[in-house]
Amino acid sequence: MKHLKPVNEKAKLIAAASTKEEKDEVMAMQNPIGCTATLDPGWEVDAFGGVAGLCQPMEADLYGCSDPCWWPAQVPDTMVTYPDWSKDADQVAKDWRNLDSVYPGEE
Amino acid sequence: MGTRLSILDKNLHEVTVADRHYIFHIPSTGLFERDGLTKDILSSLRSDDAFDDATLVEHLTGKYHPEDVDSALSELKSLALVSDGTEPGQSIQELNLETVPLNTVVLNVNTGCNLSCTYCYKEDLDEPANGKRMSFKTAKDSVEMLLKESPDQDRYNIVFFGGEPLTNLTLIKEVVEWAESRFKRIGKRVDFSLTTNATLLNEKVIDYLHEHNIGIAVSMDGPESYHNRNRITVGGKGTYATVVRKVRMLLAGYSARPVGARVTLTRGITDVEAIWNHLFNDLGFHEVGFAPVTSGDISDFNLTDTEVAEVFANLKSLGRRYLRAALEGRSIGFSNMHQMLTDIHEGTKKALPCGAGVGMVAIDHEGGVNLCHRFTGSDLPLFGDIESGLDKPALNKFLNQRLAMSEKGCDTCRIRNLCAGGCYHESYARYGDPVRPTWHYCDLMRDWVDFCIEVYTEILEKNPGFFNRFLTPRRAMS
Amino acid sequence: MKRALFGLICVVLMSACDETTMESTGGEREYMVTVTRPGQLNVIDLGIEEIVQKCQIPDAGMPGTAIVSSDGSTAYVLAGRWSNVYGIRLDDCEVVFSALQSKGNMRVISMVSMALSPTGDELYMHQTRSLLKNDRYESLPTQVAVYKTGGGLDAAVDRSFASPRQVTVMKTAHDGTLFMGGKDIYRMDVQTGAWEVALASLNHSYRNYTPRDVLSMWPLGEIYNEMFRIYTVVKWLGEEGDMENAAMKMGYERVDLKTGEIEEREFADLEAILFTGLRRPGELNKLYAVLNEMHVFDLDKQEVIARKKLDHAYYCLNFSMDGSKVYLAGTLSDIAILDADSLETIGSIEMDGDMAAANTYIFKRSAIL
Repeated sequence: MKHLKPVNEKAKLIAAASTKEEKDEVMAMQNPIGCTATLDPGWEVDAFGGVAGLCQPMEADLYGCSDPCWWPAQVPDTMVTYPDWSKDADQVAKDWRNLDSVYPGEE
Repeated sequence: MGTRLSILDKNLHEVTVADRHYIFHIPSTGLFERDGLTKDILSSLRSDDAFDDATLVEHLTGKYHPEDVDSALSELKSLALVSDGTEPGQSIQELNLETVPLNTVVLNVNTGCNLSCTYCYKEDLDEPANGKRMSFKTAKDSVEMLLKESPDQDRYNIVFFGGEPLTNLTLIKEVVEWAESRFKRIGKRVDFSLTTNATLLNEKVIDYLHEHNIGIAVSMDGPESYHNRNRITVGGKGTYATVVRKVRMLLAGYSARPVGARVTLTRGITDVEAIWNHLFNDLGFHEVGFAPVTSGDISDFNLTDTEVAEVFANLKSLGRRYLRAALEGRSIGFSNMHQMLTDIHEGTKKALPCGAGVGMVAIDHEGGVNLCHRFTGSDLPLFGDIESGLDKPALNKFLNQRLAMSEKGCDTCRIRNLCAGGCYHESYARYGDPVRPTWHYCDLMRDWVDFCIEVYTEILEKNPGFFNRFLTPRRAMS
Repeated sequence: MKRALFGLICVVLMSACDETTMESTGGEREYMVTVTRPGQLNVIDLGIEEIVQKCQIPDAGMPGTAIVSSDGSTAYVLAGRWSNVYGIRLDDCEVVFSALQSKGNMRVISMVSMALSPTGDELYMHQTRSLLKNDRYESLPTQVAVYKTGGGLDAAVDRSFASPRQVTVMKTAHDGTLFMGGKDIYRMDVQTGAWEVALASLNHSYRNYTPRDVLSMWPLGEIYNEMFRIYTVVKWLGEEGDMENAAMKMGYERVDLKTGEIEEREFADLEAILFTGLRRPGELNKLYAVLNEMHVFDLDKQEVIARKKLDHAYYCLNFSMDGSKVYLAGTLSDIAILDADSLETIGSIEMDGDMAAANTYIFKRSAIL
């Protein structure tokens, strides 16, 4: 800050935060907060712009992608918040019907 | 013309000290020194002429470079001091504490007291014979509740209160012994402290307190005539002579932790400087802190409005003495000033006035959870008990009520983030309603904060080492 | 009972037995471990293509990355939603070791990044740590933590070293050097913690190429003791940034853990996304890779020489140690067995649950009875 000179500790913090060079590195934080904090949506289309390159059928990819927060659509966060979401569907190709919606607030 | 630029007065407070000009950024409690260009921008925007981004730059080009005007204006906008129409909605979020970050529990070890100070706010006060003592089990369970509700602190505090805590030294010793081992086992630090009338101190007791590093505050009101006015025995006699004797004994060798004096100002007693002088210079307390009486519905002791104004004027007078000493590298142990300067130095931004219900709770002899030590035995409902734990919904509700009140009445006040509505017990005493901010001395408080900002900038300018030497260590020990 | 008898017969009538089921070093069999949901460690005898041991992991199976000590006695499984490692004795499913990395308000995860020392006495974990404070979360620096595998249950950290972030697969070389796969491949001295870039990947300095894109979630290469990962990259044939004149390429990055040698090699145009691949044992000029299809590459000719359509996508490709069979695993709950020459499907092993992101780990050891 050039025209407002920081005087107390708080002002120094504010001035430092507003300097572009001193911005903190963005760090992946999904492990404490779960998948809702991840901004990487995975792949909605394959590298060629279509869907043929995506896993077939899409169920094959579900756990491999949703466990580490890579699934591109909204599924419950099994990393932290809803760890038992898939407990009745150990074989998803057969038992996908047991995957249910979750309702926040309902314990 | 584009959108008219305007100053967001509620976020900005300008302070001039000697020839230095500061901007106090209220939302963050950040203090900045402003340059001439910023001054010109602000006065342009205060004039009757309307400016938008372009016309303002135009107006000031000639005296300044247009890029400079641009960057200065950006800085003001980034701090929400100047707006171009879109007012940032800065409302305080509603609290929804699911875990309460307690680090302190105050134990009312005995409602009994061997004295009968006229203004005592303890609604549950008893004579020592009839005092309700806390059991060791209740004390232990209180600490276990503290650990259960808030297991992740590095340091915890256990405060012994009363009545007069030294009337139940047995319990204090049991708790200290148990707690030292309990906390050692989990690798955390625990500190103990108590406030006492000092009359029950003797060599052995002092040695014991010293050995266990217990922080001590002594309730004392000043030189004999002031002290004896209100701090009397059950039989009505003044206690000054005894207290002085004990205090000299204590201060002679107590090096464990700094010993502070806690002064209550009541009707007719406003001579802050004389009291400080006696306690700090004559007796040798490390610090002296002042608070106005909050004596429940016994209003005979309350300072009159004129007297309150006098007290603040005298606090400022002592404050000027504090400044002179600080510039010479000395601290005169004026607690109120220490605290405010620390808040300004660090840029403390408070949404709530104190840690009651958030960092600290007080437990009465029955195991009930009270907002703080001033409320034990009062009519204010409990916030849980040690069996079932904190009543978090009730706590959230109470704290949110204060937040809502201060938001409504205080949201344009320049000291809102340092005052945060004032002491709940003061409001309870004055209005019967703890949630209502202490609006009765707002002007005096604002003036006091302005004064402290001046003192702060003077010290920062001329002896910045003062802060690390005297203020930072104080925080570490509290 | 049946398998023990079979083994016995093979000992007696050695010449009559298929060589791939019996190592001539006497008494050793080829096994595969893999983890299935919700938390089961499976040991498969690859000679008879049957699951011979099912061990309960005392935690959620996620992610289920499994590696085995060099003496074949113990499998180390990363479970508990990326947080905990369990050492499970394969003979009797006894849990003989555990590292519970998250403690108190410190949450620690390892993104498939664990490795054993060559003798198996130490376990290396790359830890991503966050401190859950009362009013905020704090991201702590990442580190490599070392555990002694003899440390029993809830083992303590022996020592730890600061390390770069975003590391996934890790393996140790013959001399104990820890290779870590991240944005680049690093090598770390596990005694001093000193580390350096062994192979620049994201940050390579080849001109006319974009940074490499790598997906490395499976610790492949145990069958011939190497670390192996596939990358994709854009090669600018004209001006940098001109997608009209660019080629998308595939390559691999490899560390030979017997010698510490590093290799990187571009091997084909990108035709389809393939998650894992390996060079065929005995025919190292051929690389097999899989996702929705399996492709076979001739590395010298830099082209695809065969494509096989699959019933569904598989993540994780592996070979029998002699290279005669391909095992496709991961994703759902079946392991497909292919003949490596004809690419015909010659078998399938049904599992009790999906493998999802779990790997397969193939090794030899004395028979599990």
